[in-house]
Amino acid sequence: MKTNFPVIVVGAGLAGLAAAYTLARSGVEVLVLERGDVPGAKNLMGGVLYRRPTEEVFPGFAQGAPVERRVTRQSFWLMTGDSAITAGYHGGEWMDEPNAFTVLRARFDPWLAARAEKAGVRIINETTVTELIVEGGRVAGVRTSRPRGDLYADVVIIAQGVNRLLLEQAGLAPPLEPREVAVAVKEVIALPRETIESRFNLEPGEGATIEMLGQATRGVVGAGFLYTNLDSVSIGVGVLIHQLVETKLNPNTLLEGIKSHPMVRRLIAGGETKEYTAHMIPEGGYRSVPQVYGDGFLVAGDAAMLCNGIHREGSNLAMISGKLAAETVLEARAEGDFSARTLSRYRARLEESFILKDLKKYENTNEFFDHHPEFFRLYPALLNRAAHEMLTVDGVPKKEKQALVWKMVRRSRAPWRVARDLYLAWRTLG
Amino acid sequence: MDDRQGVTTVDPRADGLAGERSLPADERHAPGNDPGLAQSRADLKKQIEQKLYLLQFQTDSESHLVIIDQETCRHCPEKWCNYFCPAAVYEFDESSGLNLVAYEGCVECGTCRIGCPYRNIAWRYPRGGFGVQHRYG
Repeated sequence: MKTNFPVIVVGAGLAGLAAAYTLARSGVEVLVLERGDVPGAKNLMGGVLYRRPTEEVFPGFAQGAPVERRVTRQSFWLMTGDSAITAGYHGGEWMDEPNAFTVLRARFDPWLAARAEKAGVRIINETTVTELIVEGGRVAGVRTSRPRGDLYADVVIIAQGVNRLLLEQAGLAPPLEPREVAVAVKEVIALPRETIESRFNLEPGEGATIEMLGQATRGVVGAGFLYTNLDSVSIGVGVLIHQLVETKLNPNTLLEGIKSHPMVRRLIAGGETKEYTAHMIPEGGYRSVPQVYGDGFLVAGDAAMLCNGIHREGSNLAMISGKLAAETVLEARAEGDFSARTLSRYRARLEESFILKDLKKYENTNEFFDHHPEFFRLYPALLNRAAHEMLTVDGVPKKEKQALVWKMVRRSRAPWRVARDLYLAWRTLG
Repeated sequence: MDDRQGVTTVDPRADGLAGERSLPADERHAPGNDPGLAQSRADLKKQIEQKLYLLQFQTDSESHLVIIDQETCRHCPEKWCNYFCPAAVYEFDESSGLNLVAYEGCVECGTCRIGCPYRNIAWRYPRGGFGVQHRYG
């Protein structure tokens, strides 16, 4: 086998495949190295894939790709142990003009990889990249787990996911901190499609997503989720790792907690768990984004911490960053210069796109919620209690009920602190 | 700035609501102290084991997870990895004084790599083709 390539991509996830596909479509020879048996074997996400950004990279994908359901309803549940305040949006127009699909990555990714291969991308599976080959201060290639497995390239696109070992080993990124990464566990629970549609009030092919905050994670900073697939639901919970460490909770315990919640258990009743998986989510945001370019390399997707946890976006940031990396490589090829000087335009492209604009907007969010766990514990409980009080008809005059609610709020947290919390939340998120 | 800044422990009273009509007990407990979450380590391990049976593994002969220094684990006051690993890979064995690593059931999330306060776990990806294989993902 030849050992020299114009471009090597590490990882056949969404970022890597987007980069490789974009390059191949422009006639560039590109090699993708994937550690799984097939692309998708190691890949995992909650399950929401946005149509427009995917379309931007893989035009017409929705016609043939194995997606699960069109998401027409997105809900948010602010939960206590046995109640919830719910809000959401039902977009009827999303059935005709889909905004997002639910997907199962072990099914979706092989399709996407096959499409990339058809465009000329070469994918080698069962190959773990063990280190970057650095020569004369520039990344010159990669070392793989295969014998005589050194491969060289003009430029290496690192899209190896949240465990960006290559960057850390080479000193190109610091070790991840427990405050900037969450771990999510998920179960895929099989249910007949008619059961799913009747329980979630869906037309055939329609899908629903539910994000769960508050007691869903037992007050730990994190969130639960429940997404409908065609013949199954994906249910999971993600929490910051430092919170897990401090509370000595196991993520599986939290997942079982959600599954047994009275509002959730009826939705999954009778289902059969098919798979239990875990994956880390880069939640550190803007300030956690490492150096994404250098002499001979670019970094895309989770490896570059490109994830917007507040809006449940990650796959789109992965694909668009992959595409922007590829476009930068095309320019570098035209100029015959793969130094940091030329490749720095990738960072500029990220800054100009929604990717870093959105991450910048929420750059203080992580720290804010970390220091204000009351948004995950006290406030959901208070709001639910207030709703319960005001909606329970028991002969107590409404004015008295309001006074009770106020008293409860005051005794739980000083009004000036509540006011300050809300102001700071608005400043952070607004 | 907020007065909680720098506080890393969870205050068990932080969510204790006061008022004439108090909250159900399960909302008064901080994470970790929640009686609704009471689960013995044996039960947790058993439950996780049952879930791991659902997965397909291609097991390598050599572990991709290595305890760098067992002495550090022996002195580790809380054995955090024994709690937070989603696949319950780690189990400190009191009799041998060793932190045992059941790498065969590792789901490759990387939490131990980040969560061990002593960074005492050397984590690498399994060799190509080995480890967990998602069927759904």
